[in-house]
Amino acid sequence: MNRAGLEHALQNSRVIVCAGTGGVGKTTIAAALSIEAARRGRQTLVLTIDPAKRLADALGKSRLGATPNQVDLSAILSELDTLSGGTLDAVMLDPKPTFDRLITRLAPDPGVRERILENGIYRNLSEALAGSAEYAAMEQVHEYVESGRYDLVVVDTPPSNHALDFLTAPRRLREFLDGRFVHALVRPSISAGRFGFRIFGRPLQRMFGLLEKIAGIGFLDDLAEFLAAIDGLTDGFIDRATRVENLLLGDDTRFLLVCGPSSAEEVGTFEFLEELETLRVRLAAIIVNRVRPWPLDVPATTWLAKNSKDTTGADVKQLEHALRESGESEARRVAEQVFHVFREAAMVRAAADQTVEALSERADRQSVRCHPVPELPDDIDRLQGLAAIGSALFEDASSPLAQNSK
Amino acid sequence: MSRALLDHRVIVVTGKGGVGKTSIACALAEAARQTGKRVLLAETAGIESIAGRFESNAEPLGYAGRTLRPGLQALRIDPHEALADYVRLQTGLGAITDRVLRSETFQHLLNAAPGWRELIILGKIWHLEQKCDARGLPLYDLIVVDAPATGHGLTFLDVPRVVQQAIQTGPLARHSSWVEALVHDRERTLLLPVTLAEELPVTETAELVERARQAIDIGVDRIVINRSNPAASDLTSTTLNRLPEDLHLASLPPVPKLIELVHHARHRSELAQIQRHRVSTLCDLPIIDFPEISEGFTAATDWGSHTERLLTPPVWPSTQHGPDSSSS
Repeated sequence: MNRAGLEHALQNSRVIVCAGTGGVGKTTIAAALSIEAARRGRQTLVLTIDPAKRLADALGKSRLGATPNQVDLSAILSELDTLSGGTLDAVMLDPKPTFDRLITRLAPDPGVRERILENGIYRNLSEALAGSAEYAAMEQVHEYVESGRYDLVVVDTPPSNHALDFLTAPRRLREFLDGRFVHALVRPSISAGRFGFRIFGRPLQRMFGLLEKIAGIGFLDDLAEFLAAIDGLTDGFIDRATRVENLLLGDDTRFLLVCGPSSAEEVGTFEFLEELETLRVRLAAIIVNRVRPWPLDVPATTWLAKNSKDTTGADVKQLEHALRESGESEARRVAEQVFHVFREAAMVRAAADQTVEALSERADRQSVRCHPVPELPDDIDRLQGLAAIGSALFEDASSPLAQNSK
Repeated sequence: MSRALLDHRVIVVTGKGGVGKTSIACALAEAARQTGKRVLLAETAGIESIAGRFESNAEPLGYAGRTLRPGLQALRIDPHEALADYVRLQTGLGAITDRVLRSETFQHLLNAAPGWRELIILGKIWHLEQKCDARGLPLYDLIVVDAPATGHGLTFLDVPRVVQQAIQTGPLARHSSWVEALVHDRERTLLLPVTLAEELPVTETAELVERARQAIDIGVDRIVINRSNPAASDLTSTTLNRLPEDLHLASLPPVPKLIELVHHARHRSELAQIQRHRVSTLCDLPIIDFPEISEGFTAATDWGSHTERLLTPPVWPSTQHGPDSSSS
């Protein structure tokens, strides 16, 4: 299989989006890839969202904030790497960005801004607007790309089941603002009062009638006022939403699908992959994170099939004997524990192998590769750990996990 | 302990994406069914994934839903269908309503409009909770809701209150107040957070529980830790170092590699123990450990042996014999 997908993305893309369900280590993968990109000479920015404490420490937490700060890579870069001239900045995204930011930026004057921000409907519902936080995050990505300061922006997506909302949010926003409904409501004659609705075609009239019936009198007036207030901003909104969408779905952006090793996650990952395909996202690779190391040549599944509790009895006895010889007073218990732990590790690994296999098959259909990344014994709290993950991703991966036993 | 888990009418299972929330919701519904309750399992995500955990090659549940096992009904609450349902009930108009709801203009409005999905899903749950059989008894003893992932999951519970602030009069405001009353009712409704014994899910669960108590005001009395194996190995470096270097066992790797693997497993397990304690302390709640099911929850899984675990009384990790944190 070609591994060019990931390599190519790292060298040539302007944006890499790490997508996937929550808790699978997207942030870690994003950080590890950024280090690799810097190594290869690119001016790189990593945008993290709510990183785990130790990971934030690894990126220089004290200075990790809302403005980009350079990460000191001297501890892990070789002389050759340094010559490449690459750099890495890290920035933490505002974890709760809302449309307030956008309104503030787009509003022509403070009056309009206040009218929108204080509208009852806007205030109560903007937070609930599906994907609004995700969209605002991608707005920030767009800004950094436009700034021209970076060759590559690596971003991890917010942890939520709606992780792909940010991709459709621009389109939905545009459709809404462009739609007849809004045009109807924001015409001056209409916003003067709801009786104006009568001049519209029957379907719209019926619809307004329905809305009033359900939502109560006054709701439409509020809504009309809100829409009238944002009317002046509509073009700006639509323009930006289009540009963000073009960036994310264009040739400058590649997506990585990151998932965990547990078989329970397989279903979710397949669904996610399908959604990505539907949205015509450009996928560079699938990454199965935190695969438990396995010290034998035979696969864990084979080991489990061959070594049931009945057949390992002799080995347990032999181990017990050896332990007793070495002066272990609880030889029986320790021997049993060793086998228990080993069997459990085999089960964890067997499940991971199965996930990798299933996803590899699926990845083939998209002509991308599935990369397993080994689980480290400890949580990552230093750049070295991130660098190790980065190299694991780019090392010869014919047996990508065998190298784990140092 | 205020109430037994199954004495509630509605249990909203919630958690960060990827923690196995849907599996726990399925296991809970199955456990309740096995005690003889009439159970309804409701999924709210965009993509169906419940039926496939009970049947291989399952047909979609759809809005109408169907019986998965004796005593266990399941459906997917599709917000569009629920909305049409609701509007029809309110207006008594069939064909016209459908035409308006299906119109392109209205679809655009819906696609961009905030909050209505959450409200209508919750409204449907309220409606199902109220349903009675011919004898006037509740049609379902228990409704298990597989809620949207955290963040969205709590917004979902907050929408009725928000709607009432935005809209003060009319049927929608009145209905929202009924739904809100269900959310607050400790006798009927329980929020069941699911997490993993890992740092970020635990942090997010602590935030979720805080918000559930402060902003939403919904009952929450225990946390499920999925894929949790609290019995940590007590193999220490000292005992392992007694393994003879030249030991050769047919089924095991050479001693140094074996030691490395055992260390790795113990380390991960200790990190999990720390997070297990942490979530209980941060939330001030007892926990239920739900073990890793190596094959995942599928139609082939032997459910019976696992699901009962959810019905055992929750424990406080501090009173359990936890791992010796001074080791290693």
